[in-house]
Amino acid sequence: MDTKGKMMITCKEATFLISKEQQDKLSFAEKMQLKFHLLMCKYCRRFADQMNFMTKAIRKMKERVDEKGVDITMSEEQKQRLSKKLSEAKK
Amino acid sequence: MNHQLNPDSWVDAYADYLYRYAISRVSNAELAEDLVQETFLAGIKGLAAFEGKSNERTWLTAILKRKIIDYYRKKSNAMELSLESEDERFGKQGMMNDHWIESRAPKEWQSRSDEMLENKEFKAILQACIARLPEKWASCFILRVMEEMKGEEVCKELNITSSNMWVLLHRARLQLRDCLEKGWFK
Repeated sequence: MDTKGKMMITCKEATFLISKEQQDKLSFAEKMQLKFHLLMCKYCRRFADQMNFMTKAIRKMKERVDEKGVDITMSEEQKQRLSKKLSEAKK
Repeated sequence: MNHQLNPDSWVDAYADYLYRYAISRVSNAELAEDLVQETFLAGIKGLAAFEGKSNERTWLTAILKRKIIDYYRKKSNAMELSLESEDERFGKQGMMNDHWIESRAPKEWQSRSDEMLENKEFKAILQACIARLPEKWASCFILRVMEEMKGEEVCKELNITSSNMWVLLHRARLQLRDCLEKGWFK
C-alpha cells in the first residue's frame, strides 16, 4: 500500500501501517501520517492498541515452547512409534 | 567444546521439545509427529555431517526448522496467490473513503489485561485462531512471525515480493484480530 506524499491517510491504509509496525520500523513520513490519523480516529487507535496486545500475546506463546513441563507433550504411544522407526532406520 | 551425538537417547531427551516446537508452528498433531520423525531420521542420516559445533538439541531443531519451511514452501507454491484488495471492513463513510464500517470496526476489548497472557484458555484460543488462518496467509505469517525468519528469506522461500509479504501479513493479522474478538472478547 503506497501512502507516499499524502497528509491524510484512510483507515485501510492506517491499519496497514499499524500491522507493518509490529514487524518493522516505519519511515518518518509513515510515522507522521499514522500519528496524525490516530489523533482523529478512535477505531484505529483501538486497532493499534489491540495489535500491540496481540503481538505481546504471540511472543508469550512462543516463549512457552522452551518451558519444560507445559501441557503439550508426546504421548507414550507416539514415542514408542518413534523409537521403533528410529531403530529400524539404524539397522 | 565438541559435542557428541547419541541417537539412542533422542526420543527421551528431545521428542517433547521438538513436538512442542512443531505443533506451535503447524497446529496439527499428526503432522507435527511426522515432522519430528522426519527430523530424527534426517538426523541419523546426517550423523557423519555433524561437526560438533552446536549441541544436539540445537542441531535437531535446525533440521526441524528446515522441514517446517519446506512444508510451507510446498504449500504456498501449490496455490494461487490472490491479493485482491477488496476488504469488507472498510468503505465510504460520509466524506471519507475506506473508513471502518461501523459494524466491522474493532470493538472494545473489555476484559483485556496483561494477566490474560498467562491464562490457559486465552492461549488456547490464540493458538486455535492461528491454526484457523486461511492457508494463503498462514505460510507467510508462520515463517515471519512464529519462526522469526528475516523478511528477505521469507520472500525467497515463498517466492513472493516484499510488498506481497506485507499484504499477506496484514491480512493474517486482521483475521487473527477478528478471531480473538469473536472467540474471547465478545
